[in-house]
Amino acid sequence: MVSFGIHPDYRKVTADKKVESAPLPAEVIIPLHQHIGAPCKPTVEKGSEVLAGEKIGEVQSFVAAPVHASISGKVKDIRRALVPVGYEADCVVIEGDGKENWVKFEKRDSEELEPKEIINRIKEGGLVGMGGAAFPTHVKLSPPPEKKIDVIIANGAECEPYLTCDHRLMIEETERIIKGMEAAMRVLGCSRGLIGIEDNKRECIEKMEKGAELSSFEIEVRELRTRYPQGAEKMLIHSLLRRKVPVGGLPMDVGAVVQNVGTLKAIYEAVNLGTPLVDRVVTVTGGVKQPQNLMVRIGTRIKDLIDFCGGFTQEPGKIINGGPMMGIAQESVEVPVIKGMSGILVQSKEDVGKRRERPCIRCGSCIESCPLGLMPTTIVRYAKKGMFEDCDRYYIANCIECGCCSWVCPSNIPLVHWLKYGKGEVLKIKRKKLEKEREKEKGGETK
Amino acid sequence: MGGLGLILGLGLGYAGRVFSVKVDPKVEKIYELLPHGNCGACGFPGCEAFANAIVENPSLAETCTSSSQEAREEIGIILGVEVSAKNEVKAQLFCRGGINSKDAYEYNGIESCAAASLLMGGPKSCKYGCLGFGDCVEACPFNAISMTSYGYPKIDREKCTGCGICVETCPKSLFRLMDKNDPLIACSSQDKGALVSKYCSTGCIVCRRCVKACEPGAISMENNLAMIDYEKCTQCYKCVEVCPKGTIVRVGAKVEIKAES
Repeated sequence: MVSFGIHPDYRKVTADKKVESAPLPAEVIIPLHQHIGAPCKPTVEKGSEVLAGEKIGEVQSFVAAPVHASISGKVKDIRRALVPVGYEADCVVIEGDGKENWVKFEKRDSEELEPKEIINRIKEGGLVGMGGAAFPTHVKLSPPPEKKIDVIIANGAECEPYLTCDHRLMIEETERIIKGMEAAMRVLGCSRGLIGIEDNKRECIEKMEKGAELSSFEIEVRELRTRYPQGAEKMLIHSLLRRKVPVGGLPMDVGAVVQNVGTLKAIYEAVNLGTPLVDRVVTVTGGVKQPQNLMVRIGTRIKDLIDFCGGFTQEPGKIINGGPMMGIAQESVEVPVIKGMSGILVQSKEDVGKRRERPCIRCGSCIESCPLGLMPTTIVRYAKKGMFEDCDRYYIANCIECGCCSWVCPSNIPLVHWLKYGKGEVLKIKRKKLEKEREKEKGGETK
Repeated sequence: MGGLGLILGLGLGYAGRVFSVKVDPKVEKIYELLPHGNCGACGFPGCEAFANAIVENPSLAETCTSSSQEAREEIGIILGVEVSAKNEVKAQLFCRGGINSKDAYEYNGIESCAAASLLMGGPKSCKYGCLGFGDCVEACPFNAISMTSYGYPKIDREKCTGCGICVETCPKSLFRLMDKNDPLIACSSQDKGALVSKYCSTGCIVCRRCVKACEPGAISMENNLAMIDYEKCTQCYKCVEVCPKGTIVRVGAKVEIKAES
């Protein structure tokens, strides 16, 4: 097997900590744009009363997921606010009444439901990929008819250091994950299911194996080498199936669908219990007094969670949404928890430290570490000079921004930042070209 | 060695004369008149390509927005076409934040506005304002933009040709091409006034004094920001006088922050 990636210090200090429920927040800020795709339109107004689980944001296109109220109360405001993925979005602010008034949910058995109904229930539940990218689940589960899916992969790799939310879910919610997986398999009509778990999570592997045995479907647990970024979709498919997702392609191009274990659990809840996605497990770790895994309502401010975990141990240097490798540093603790947030990591000032960038010594470490076989140093050299067409020639769009190259770079070059920037610029250029071509076509027609 | 050099030199000189590519004298003359900034605003790769193109197709002569009025007239004479009078527009920066605007976090990434704006919209508390890394300074083909100690760029109006490269470059879209005498509202923040006053000392706080002061009624408030309707504006500069934060500036005049009374 080709060597890829890196082996960082895992620091999974919260792995043995049971998932605890965080206290009900007094106020939630629920962004209407928590997924990849078009933002939702609010269905409530300022001042209206909402029940927990009520839909407050309706989708406007296929690639989107509706948003639900996570607590009952009164809509205080609908305003723009910063969301932890790095942009401002319209948010519904709900002031809680402290009561748990839920919408009545319709319970169904997924085995009696038609695949179409299952998809519909997933869509109505507002499900998105909970591993971080937040891609709407129903879109992933409805591939075009010409793409035959023969295997579904449950992603339990959790290769990011510090994070343990999937780890705990696999131990505590084994049954639900397997049931969710069965529902997804029924939708896609595939008979084979694989669960990929890194070999540093022995307990999970044993639990999941037991769970898989009880299932009537052919579900197999596979042990994976502990290596970052094992949990990246393309890596996982390659490790388990030895299939390579083509350049610019999606997993469905090689007949596979990858779902995070957290998403599978949410599928079970949405399909069988009818509950929408209003809470999730978040690992609060790093420089807090009591690092732990918390079951949190979507929209809770991360400040409340840090306070619940005893506050900071020392002055924080960085507060990160997600893990240390791919997470996004936050500028304020007022941002809400969203569907795709798997962890809150607090790093101390010493951890962060300023590192001086030195010139590239052409050692090639970044090329060796790149899981996709790209040449970060070359691409970045082009990006620095503004030669974005050359970046594209070296497949910059394939970069998954896993951070391995920056991690290994002995010269402290912020490679991922450059790659991210370059990707954006390449996209802009491509969009411009498309527009020009369209204009030309239009011009040709009128002539 | 010297002899060899002489022979080869003569050979090269001879070849240069015999095989020289004849350039249309018109192209040469026009090229001399063009601004040599290679800004690309005309849609051609550089001034030389543009000169070639307009000799073939004189109707394109107007598309160069960078050349001066005299040069445009002369090009018109050479080509025998009438070139319309130029719109005297200059790039203007719609922000005077810079060091007057507070930072939200410590940034130590790439020194570029476009790269910094990927991270939570940049290190400034104001998500609309100038980041001050100077992408525009690098991009300006006429060296008309320079970074000031105030943390935002300054535009040299003598050198600016109104080509519009900076308008496209700025990730915050803070540049606009304007008539050089218009007053301008040097703020782009659409946040509420109370919030703006917390993080920026020169931002528009939506006090509406300019709206009241404007006699022709050219100023209105849109998205928590004053907007001037330049069709109605009579350039009386009363708005500049009443603005408590010095947000409205008379282009070319220095920004002075008035003490709050």
